[in-house]
Amino acid sequence: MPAAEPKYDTKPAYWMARQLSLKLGLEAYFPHENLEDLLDWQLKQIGSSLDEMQRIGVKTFPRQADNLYFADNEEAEFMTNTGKKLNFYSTSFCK
Amino acid sequence: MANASPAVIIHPGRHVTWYGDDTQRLRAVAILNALLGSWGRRGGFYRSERFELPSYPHPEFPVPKRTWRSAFPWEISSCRPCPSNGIYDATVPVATRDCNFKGWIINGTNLIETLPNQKQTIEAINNLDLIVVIDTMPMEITGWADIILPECTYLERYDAVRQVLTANHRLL
Repeated sequence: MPAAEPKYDTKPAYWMARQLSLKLGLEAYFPHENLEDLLDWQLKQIGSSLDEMQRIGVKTFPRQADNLYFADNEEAEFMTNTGKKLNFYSTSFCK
Repeated sequence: MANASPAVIIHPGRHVTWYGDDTQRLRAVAILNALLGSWGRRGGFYRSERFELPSYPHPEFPVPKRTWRSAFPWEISSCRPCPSNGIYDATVPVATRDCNFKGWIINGTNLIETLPNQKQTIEAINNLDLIVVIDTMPMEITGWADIILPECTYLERYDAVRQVLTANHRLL
């Protein structure tokens, strides 16, 4: 969160984008007046809030799955385009 | 290293130690880690888990009539963001290409120094009708701007919440 007030006539990027959206009639994409309101909404969806994060700074969540490592006989899957196997060369670069 | 495998990591290095021509070096790092069996093994790389904040609901985004992809007669399926030299290609008009950008909106990126061929970058800039630069301080690229939108620094604004994947998730 901010440590100081903005100097001179500088603005956050969200403010710039929102002001442009108002001029372009795209305000439906920027319903929040500032980023703080959007952050507060996002944090409330996961049971926190901007107010809480302002106080604690860092919040830690446990992993959903207890699978830090592959099990001994586990069929490991990777996000590759060769049937979820490890890639040693890129098939998409070949095309 | 082979004796210690799979409890081995060849670390890709911090971003600050990369210099933008490291594609093959990083490929080699990934291949060595795979050969050493480091992925998902104790002492190697642990498995990451996705954790995302929900996005606020919004109307469907309009579909642009043209994108940078129109600049290329072939499909660049593996390049999701426009490859850096592609910005030049998509800007300078040539008879064989059905696209040329008229304006750039540059957000906190000093393109004069970050794109690989400075001469081409300046040629592309000279073909533009408009450059808007959003930055926190003067850079080479702000000197080329028609309009500068001065942004406050990260100490003076809120930014999107950062999620760090560690053995536990951390939300900052």
